[in-house]
Amino acid sequence: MKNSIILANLPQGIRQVSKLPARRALDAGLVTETDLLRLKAIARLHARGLPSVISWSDLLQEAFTRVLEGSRQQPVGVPMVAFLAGVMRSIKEQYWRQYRKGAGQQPKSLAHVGDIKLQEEELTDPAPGVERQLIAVEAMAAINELFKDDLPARQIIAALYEGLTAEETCSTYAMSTTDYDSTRKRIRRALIRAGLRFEPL
Amino acid sequence: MNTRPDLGFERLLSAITQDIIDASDEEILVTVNELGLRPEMQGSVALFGVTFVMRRSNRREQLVVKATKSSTDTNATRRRRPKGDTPS
Repeated sequence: MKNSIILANLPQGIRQVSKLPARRALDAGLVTETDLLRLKAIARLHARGLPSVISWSDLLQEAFTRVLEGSRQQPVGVPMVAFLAGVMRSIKEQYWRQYRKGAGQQPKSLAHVGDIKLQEEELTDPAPGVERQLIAVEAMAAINELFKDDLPARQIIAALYEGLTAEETCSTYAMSTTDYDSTRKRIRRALIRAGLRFEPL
Repeated sequence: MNTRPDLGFERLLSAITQDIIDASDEEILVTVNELGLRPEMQGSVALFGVTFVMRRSNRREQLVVKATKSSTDTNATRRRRPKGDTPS
């Protein structure tokens, strides 16, 4: 409560400008407020893998736009949050492919990024450019910095990066299953917190 | 190991994204409360960039323009001052 930031208390120079696709989805009952909080944290994570000119909010709103316009349809049995997270990942992948095909020319906005539904196996770029790799290196450094005082967290992050299973991670770092689970939960909490912290767009 | 950075990063994102999807509503709300945010209140920054956006005004630019204009006016006044007069 003491740190609560409410729009009404912000300076007059900052104002609300429009009703966004995510708001429309909330009004239509497609998602709950808690779902939106989850999606905000997920969008911020995924946006770390994009050039800084693309904001996490752009990525999130573009995913909602595609769902609301019907160009992306929720498969039966897939929860809306998981579906939207997949749409964001797919948009990001398409952004980089379009960037590469355009010889380093950035798409004007995410709305200009093609809308091709990629299969799971296609979500791995076969030939990523140098810029994408550099952004990934920077993003990893930023995530590790969040856990600079938490060695087990950094070990699990390294293991996830390498694609190790929970068992392999516990074996590699002499970690108990309980420690693995509690550390993984700590990582999740910290990244949700980082994803919901206020920062101007 | 020599993992390609973008592949490793995407692997990490997939795992963490799934963790966030699986997090209970209670856990999300506890985290939000720890940040001192109150998403149930209209205009709470918890949903900033999600259900609403805000645009900074160009107040700084206005101030720069105003300062420049003021400086120009002062110069104009100086030019109009008759030779030999001292500024008051």
